Amino acid sequence: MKTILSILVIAVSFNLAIADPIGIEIKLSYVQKAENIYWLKTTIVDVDEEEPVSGLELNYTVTINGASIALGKAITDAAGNCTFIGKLSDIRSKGHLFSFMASFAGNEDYDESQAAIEITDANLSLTTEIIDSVNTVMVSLTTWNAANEVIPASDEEIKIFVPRMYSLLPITDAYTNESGQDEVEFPNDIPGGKKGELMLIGRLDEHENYGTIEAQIATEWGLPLAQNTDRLPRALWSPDAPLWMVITFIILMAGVWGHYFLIVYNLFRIKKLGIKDAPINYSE
Amino acid sequence: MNIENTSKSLLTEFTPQITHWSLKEKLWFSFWSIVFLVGMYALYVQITEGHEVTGMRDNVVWGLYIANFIFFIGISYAGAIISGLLHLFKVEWRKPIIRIAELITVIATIIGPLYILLCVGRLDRLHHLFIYPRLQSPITWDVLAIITYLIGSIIFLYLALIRDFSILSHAGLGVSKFKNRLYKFLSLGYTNTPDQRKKLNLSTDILALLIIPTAIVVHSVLSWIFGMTLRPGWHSTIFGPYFVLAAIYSGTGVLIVALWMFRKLYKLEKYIVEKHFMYLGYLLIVLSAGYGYFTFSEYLTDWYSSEKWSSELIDKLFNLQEFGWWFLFANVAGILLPIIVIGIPKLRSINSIASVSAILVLAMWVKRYLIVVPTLETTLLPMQDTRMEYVHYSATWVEWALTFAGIAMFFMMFKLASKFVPIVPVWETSEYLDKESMKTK
Amino acid sequence: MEDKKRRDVLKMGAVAGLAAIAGAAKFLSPESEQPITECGDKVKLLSQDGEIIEVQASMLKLDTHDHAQTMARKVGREGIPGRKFVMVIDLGRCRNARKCVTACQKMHYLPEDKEWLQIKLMKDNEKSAPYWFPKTCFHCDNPPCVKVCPVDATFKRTDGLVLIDNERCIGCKFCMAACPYSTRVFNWGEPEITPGAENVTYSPETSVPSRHSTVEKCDFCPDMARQGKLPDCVTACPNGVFYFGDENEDSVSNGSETVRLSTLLRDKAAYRYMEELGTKPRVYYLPPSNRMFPVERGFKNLSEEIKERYKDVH
Repeated sequence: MKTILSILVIAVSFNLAIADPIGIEIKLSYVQKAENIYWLKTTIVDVDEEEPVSGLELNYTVTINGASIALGKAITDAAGNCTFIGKLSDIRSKGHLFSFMASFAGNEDYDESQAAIEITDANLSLTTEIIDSVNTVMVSLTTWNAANEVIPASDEEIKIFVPRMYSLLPITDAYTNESGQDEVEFPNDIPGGKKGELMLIGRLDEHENYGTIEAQIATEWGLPLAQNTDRLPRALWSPDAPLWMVITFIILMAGVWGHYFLIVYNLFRIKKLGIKDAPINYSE
Repeated sequence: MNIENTSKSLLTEFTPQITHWSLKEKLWFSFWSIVFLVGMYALYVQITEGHEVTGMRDNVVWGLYIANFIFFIGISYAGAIISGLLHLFKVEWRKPIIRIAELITVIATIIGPLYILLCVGRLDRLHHLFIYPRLQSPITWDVLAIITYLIGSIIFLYLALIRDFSILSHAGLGVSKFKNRLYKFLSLGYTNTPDQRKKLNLSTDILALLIIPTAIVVHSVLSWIFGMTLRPGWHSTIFGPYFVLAAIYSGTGVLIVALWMFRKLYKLEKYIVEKHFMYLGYLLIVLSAGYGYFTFSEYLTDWYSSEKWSSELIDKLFNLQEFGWWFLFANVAGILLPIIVIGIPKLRSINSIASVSAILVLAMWVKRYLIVVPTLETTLLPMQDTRMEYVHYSATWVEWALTFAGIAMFFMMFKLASKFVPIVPVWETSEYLDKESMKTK
Repeated sequence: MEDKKRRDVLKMGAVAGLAAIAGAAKFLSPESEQPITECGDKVKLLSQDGEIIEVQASMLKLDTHDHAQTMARKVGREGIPGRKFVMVIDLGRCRNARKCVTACQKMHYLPEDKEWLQIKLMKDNEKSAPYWFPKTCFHCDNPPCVKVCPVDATFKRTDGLVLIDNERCIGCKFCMAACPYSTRVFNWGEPEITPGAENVTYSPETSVPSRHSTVEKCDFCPDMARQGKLPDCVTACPNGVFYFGDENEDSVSNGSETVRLSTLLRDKAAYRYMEELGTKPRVYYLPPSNRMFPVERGFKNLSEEIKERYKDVH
């Protein structure tokens, strides 16, 4: 039995030693995060089980007008994710059609692999105005044509969000017209910060040409947060008991214990009144 | 006959009780000591291994211990209410029995809270009750009320003992020097001078008046541990008075049993007479009827309105496969039996009253169990648990051992007390006998 | 004035410390004896309002683990400022996949038989169809459990959470008897500690590790909230049953979808379980209408032991 087991163990380890590197798949997406910042979000999973692969180093490059530029490197985390963050102005100066590539050179355990995306540069801007006491968000989406001229991007859906504790809350949608613009009404019942400050985020989601584009603008359109939420009242369920309870308790306890002390005091008096070695007085 | 002579002859009669251990007493004490020691071993097991050794689990978080707690605090009413009330109404026949009643109170009030300690998982953190108290919690009320009650009943017992300590210290019973000195110290040099008598009587009056509301508060607060929750069978507005009445009832029952036992043991037939049993028996009928009324009204309302969870609970109590037999026993033996046996003159005798009392005390214990366990087994959400010990409670040997240890403690403490002071108060009884003899003249 | 300043810094130190706990790092707290001077290195800290502020490095000292825990327990009693946590459970989407249960157990290092989050099979009346009912702690706004605690070991915070300090708990179990939803569990013996739990600094927010003879329960993962992450049951659910968020922000998220709380509650006719008890739960249920899965799906891949639990429901 033992021999069989050890053979098995050897077989397994042998098998591991000569195992082929595992195939991986790289998923790459482009996000224009702010005015001058873009993210190249990358996820690596193994081909067989779609499990995330961590600790792999990725090389990022971009090709603009036929010229290839090395951007940098990033290493995947436990969830198989990594993000390269770049300055938009660095690449925009060279053109407006980007071919991004993320590549893994391959090692003992994993095969080499790469992923590429083509992005047409675009620009999203938000402006706000109160028109006839209606909060209005104005959206403008532009892109560049082959001749490097700014042209409107029409018929695109821009979602408007507000950032919340855990995620972005979608509020309304805008659709760009032929001049790449739209005006949408923004509700006035969205809770904001202490003074009603509220950040708006506009986003074009995973567009096949433009990638994801985000833009944001600060407003004071939120409902001010109620200030008194950080104090607990006197209650049965709070640390401090209701006042009537405290008062009743003190009266009851003082009443009873006061009498106890009175009686103990009386006992001391009885002791004092005692006559040493006197016989008991049985008369009433 | 004057009081002096009466008291001297009484003292001579009672001296063997204090100074002498008969073989029967020794055996009795040894038996309960063994029961107590088994309980202490169980306690050791529970403390070292945790509450895992009990039958309590996440649904039924309380079991025998809490039932015992209510039971003992209930018993303690014997002294507080009976003795306090009879004192206030200046009922003369109370005098031979007040010592037994007040001893029951003090001893039961010492034992009862020990059971709540057995329910506390972290005894090492017990001081948290005093350093982080929350006034909103019924447990805080309970802790404070019981401490107040215990101190009050000890003072009450002591006030009624001072005269006897004085007699004992003057008598020179041939007890040990230490004991004699203790008598002397405890007698406070009381020699019944008019000034001393006035002070002592005033103190006793005050305390007799005070101990009654205190006792009522204690048992109401205890009932509110249950009443304040949102659980079927517990969340009831009559729980306070219901518990108070049940406590007086079981307290009177225990008092009758104790009288009967001491009467037999110390041959007190001359002092604890048929009249005591008859009068306490009549009281028992009244209490039984009152208690029966509360019980009926409690279950009738739950059954009639048949709200979902109350119905579930009632079904369990009525179902002979579950708690039905116990429920039947608690109500037949605990309510009907005393009324029938004591109510019908032909059946009424010292022995029958005492045996009925013993049965009703047992029935009252079962009743307390039926208050605690079936409700905890009736959760508002379906339990859906396959671990049977989580669904149904059944007490383990540890819990039983500690339950009997409490009973053992009760008997042992009573025995020890009777070796220190006469179980029938010498002074008061002399006064009483003196008055009685005047009447007959 | 000086005094007030110092107190503020004290508070901020506590918050900084909590952030440090998240990364199991050493603890920083101010040394109160030291006078404030205007020289030396400055350290950046996160204030309670979420602003970055600078304080003198000389005011801070590295702390021991014990002190870290004391501070963590103290901070754990204060709610996250401005928050009011709320959960919405969509009964129409639950198919008893039990991913929430296992994720919760993993997150809190619980053994397999201890479920802070339970899934019941409910049937409201004879005619209606059974449905799966995940049950967390309801973190009631009028919590019966907190009312009865004699030592303030279980407490309600300003952010709505009901937590337990298991270093304070005396194990009287009154809270368990008082909770009408049978939410709480007790460590009847020495709790089984799964590997890794010993590295977690205990605070009422982590609830890890368990202590013998004390009470514990679902805590809504405030330690995750401090990092801006949703509780693990929410993210683990394959069907997006759980929505979690901040009532003050009127927003809840199930990880993939974020919606306005008020809209969701209104449109889906949300209810709170046993509203009539007056406990004011912070958990809302969306009725099990338009169900995504037949109830039978929930019996797939269940162990016999778990199947056995539901045998009384037909």
